[in-house]
Amino acid sequence: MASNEKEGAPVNTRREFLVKISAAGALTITPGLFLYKVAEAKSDNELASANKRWGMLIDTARCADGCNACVEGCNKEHGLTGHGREATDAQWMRKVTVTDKSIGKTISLPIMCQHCENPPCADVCPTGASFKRKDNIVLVDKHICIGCRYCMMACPYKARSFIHEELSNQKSYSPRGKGTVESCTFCVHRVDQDKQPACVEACNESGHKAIVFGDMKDPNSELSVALKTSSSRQIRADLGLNPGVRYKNF
Amino acid sequence: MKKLHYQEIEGNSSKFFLLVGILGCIILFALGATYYMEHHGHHVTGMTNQVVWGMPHVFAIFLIICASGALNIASIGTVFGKSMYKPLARLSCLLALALLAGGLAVLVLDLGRPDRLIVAMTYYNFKSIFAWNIYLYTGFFAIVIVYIWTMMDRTVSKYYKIAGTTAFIWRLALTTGTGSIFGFLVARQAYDAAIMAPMFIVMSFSFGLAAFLLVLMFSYQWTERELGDKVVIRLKNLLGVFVAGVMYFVIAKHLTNLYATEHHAVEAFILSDGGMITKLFWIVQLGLGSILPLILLYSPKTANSRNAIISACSLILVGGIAQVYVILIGGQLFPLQLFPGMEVSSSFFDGVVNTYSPTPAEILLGLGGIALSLIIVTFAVKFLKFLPVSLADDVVDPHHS
Amino acid sequence: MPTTKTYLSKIKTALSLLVLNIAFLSTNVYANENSLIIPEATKGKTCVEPIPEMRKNHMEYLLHKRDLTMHEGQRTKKHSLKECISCHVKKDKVGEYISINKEGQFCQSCHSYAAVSIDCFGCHATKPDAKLGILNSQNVKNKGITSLITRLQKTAKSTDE
Repeated sequence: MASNEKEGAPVNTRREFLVKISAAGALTITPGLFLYKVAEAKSDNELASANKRWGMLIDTARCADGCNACVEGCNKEHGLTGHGREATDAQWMRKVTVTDKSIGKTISLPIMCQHCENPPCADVCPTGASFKRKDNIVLVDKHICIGCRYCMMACPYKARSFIHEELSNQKSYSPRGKGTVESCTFCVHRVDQDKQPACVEACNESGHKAIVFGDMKDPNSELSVALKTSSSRQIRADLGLNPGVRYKNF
Repeated sequence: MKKLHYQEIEGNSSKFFLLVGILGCIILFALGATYYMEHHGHHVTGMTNQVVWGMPHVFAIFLIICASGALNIASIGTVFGKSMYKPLARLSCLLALALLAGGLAVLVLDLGRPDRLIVAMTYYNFKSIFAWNIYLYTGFFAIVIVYIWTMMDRTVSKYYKIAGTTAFIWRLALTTGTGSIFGFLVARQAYDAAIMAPMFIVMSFSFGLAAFLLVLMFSYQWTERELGDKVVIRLKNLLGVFVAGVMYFVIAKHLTNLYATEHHAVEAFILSDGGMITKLFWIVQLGLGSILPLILLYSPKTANSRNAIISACSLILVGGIAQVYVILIGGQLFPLQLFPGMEVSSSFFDGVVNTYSPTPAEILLGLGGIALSLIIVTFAVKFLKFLPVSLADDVVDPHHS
Repeated sequence: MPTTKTYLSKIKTALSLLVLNIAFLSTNVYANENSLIIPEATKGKTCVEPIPEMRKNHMEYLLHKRDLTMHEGQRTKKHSLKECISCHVKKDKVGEYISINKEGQFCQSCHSYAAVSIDCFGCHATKPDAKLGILNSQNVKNKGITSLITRLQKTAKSTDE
């Protein structure tokens, strides 16, 4: 966690900067529990590793119909304010209501980029702007996105949005701009600081605690344990994309 | 025996300037429309996060299909040795290049970041069919230019056959690539089918030849050069076969889909419940674009009428645009199946049939692509020897009696 | 029979017409006659690389760092655009940050002078975020983390030189 403070958002004053730096320094000499935490966190220099695979388990039994906390958390984190134009406004995450007509059962669940192991968006992207990081977070490199929208055609989950107008006041950790495609980043800026994505945090705050986020490759992570001990499913598993987002009680 | 002779057109009649003027105006308007769309962002178009590809893509894909098809006339002469097609080869190549240029211009100008064209040239993802297409398109330009060179310059004419064969193979690959843009989209109910690639090839035969015949007939009429019935009749008979071929593929595609229950919903949408899409499919694509042209081309009453042939070609092209529209837009209007068999709803248009109404700017951009193609042809035949002075029956076929 | 040369000359004519048109369209290139004033950095006199080197090659450093961060997840501050901004950004009279791409500000002053457009700020924030990320974040309600942070701050203060 030490690197959290050090790496966090920009620093206002020199004083605060020094405080943080020394906090980080102090941490390294704090014994026991903290040293263990330091070993877990990703340091500034460390690169995304193929030994990790970030994933999510969403418990639809806990996800409340009508609750939109995760979506709001996401919108707030990334500054997705919208322009009052439903059809063209970006939505990284949305609540979907699914009804099985034959038995009359309705459930509610959030859908966002499923961070596939075999992402079709990355396959079709002509420039390689849509890509999968080594730790299986699927991202858009907006520096080389030409705005062709082929990835949006290819995504089975409708997880992507095209930016239809000029933007301003973006968040420093979440650059977004006209003419490029974007989608859920698994809050990569937080993950790299060993923090939970904004939607998970928001869901916990709302008290529903429906989302578990973690490393699928670490057999002892909360996520892996949860996946092992309960049955879960993937959306459109028939496509063989092996998404990183799984759904429980569905 | 009359000798085949190529000559630039004079290009100083009032008709010529009128044509250039009209085409130039359309191009200017299209550029204005592009500026408007790029300046404000795509929210001023009919395209949305649901219908991500719209009218510009309909025109671009249509023009690219036409381009590869227009090259067929040259290929028939070179690869299959039909001497009657050889005098038409230069124009065929020229039209192919011009149509491809027009189509690509539209495609590029609709990008979210057209200023980053250089990125598309320097960053490649080799798993992407789009990236292959960039190679296929640039390669097409290079090969066809060499092909034209081997026709125009006797010193390199010994490479004519090899250039022509390469161009023929390349164009098949190019149309396969264009068709595969859709065939590779596993997620979309309406697209994911291997039949897309061969269907696009037959579509290219049909639309490309129709475009070629129109350009040929108008350029000979306006320059008052002689165009014999032999060429025209041969080409229009061939065109009829291609039109029938396209119908065959359309029927085969829909019948196979109708057999599989998972495709019933999307087929029902296209064939009966899709409103505008359904009308375009039955009335414009099949009725006006396929059946009526077949009647015009083969009915004894109209078979030899030039006006009937011109009408048939125009109808085929209009039907072609409708067909691409039905495939491209229709496929996007139908909702993605996240949970097959379930009913879904959300704030992001899940589970509902989307709507798309193209804005004038988008349509103008598309028309600009067509105008660009035509203006390229117009200038090229003025400055270079593309058109034979005469295509009278005794010129194209010396054994004609 | 005409030779290749005649064809070539015709192609040349067509091409030169085209080039002439392009030249005509681009004659209204913007030229800035004002003398160049670059605002000074707020955090000291030295940059991450020697200043002449940064003036000449800052885009190369940014590009390299951009790819490392975007694709590999390297989050160090050196050569990152965010750090450039946090060091070079100015505040106005009421203490609000001024966008770095406003006329007369660090990036824009020089880029206007050189008549080079900047492609960064269509997407990137032009000033540091108003709130501090983790320390002041309203989102962090997790008591464990908050108490840890408080503890760390206390420890930090006691060891602060």
